[in-house]
Amino acid sequence: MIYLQLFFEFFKTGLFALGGGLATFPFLMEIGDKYGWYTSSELADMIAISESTPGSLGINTASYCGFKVAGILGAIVSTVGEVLPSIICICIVVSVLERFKSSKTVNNAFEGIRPAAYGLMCAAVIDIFLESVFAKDAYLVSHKIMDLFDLRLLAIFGAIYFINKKHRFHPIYYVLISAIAGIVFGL
Amino acid sequence: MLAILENEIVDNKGWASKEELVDYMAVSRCTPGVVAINLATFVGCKLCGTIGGFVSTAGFITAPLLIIVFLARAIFLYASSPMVVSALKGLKAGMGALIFTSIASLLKPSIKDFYSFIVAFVAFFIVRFTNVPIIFVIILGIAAGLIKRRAS
Repeated sequence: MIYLQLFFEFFKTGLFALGGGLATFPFLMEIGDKYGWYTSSELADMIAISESTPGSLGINTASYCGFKVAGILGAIVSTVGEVLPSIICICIVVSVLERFKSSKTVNNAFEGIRPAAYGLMCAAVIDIFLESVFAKDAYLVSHKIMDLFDLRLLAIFGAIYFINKKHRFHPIYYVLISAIAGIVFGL
Repeated sequence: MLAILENEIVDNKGWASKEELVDYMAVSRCTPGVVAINLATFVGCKLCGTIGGFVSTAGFITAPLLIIVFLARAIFLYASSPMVVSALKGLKAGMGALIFTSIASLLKPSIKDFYSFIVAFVAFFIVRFTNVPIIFVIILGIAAGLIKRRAS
């Protein structure tokens, strides 16, 4: 049953993804590969939309994937699945807060989890960048390395990166600028 | 987003002091799940127990869920319009820049020494070139962290 699968997969994501929204990307890729619910190109779309809407990126992508796979109920099931581990763990931790905070074992474990999660994130982000910042579609047609680089995409990427680095405007401006640039450039 | 949470929780509602929030944040970072959700649950749990945790998380996810469903439907309906396709391609490149900024800012706190670089590299290599499930990579990471301390 698809709702149970969604719930289980996103529960697993919520339980093992430690950190911000980026930490969920490797899991989203794995889910897409395992069930064929969406392609990596569709995932790149979903991540871009989720990044440009209010709320936490990790949760938004879960809602979007769930919706894509099984409609509104799918969105609800996936979102609830992803936050349930948080609720359970936090409610347990609250009662042992002091011990948890000063626990050597927890801190040591994180010395290893952080870099491992970072390696996973980098692998996922490379795949997503091939779809979004580089022109993977064009490359797959021509098999010429140069076709991976679409100057228009790289210009948008670079412009947003430097504007954000200098000014830190509200993300909605970046959403508008990059969408309008996409239309103007006729991507 | 964390800044908005801080403003609302500490200054407007007085649900936690700034020091408490720093504690909550630290714990939220090292418990399973997305940090912002953990933090919302934490504040709810502290104030009103388990029910509080459930309620604040429900509040935190409802509005974004509705917006996503609405947007996803709209994009599904207009997916064939060339203008939407172009806008989406531009959006992906632009949002890629924000993702790049996030992952760059995580580099320093994640990779502190040669050991953590090796752990990150091995994790990257495993997920890239084998079919080992991600969960095992995380578990390997835990093991690597515990072994590191034992050794030093």
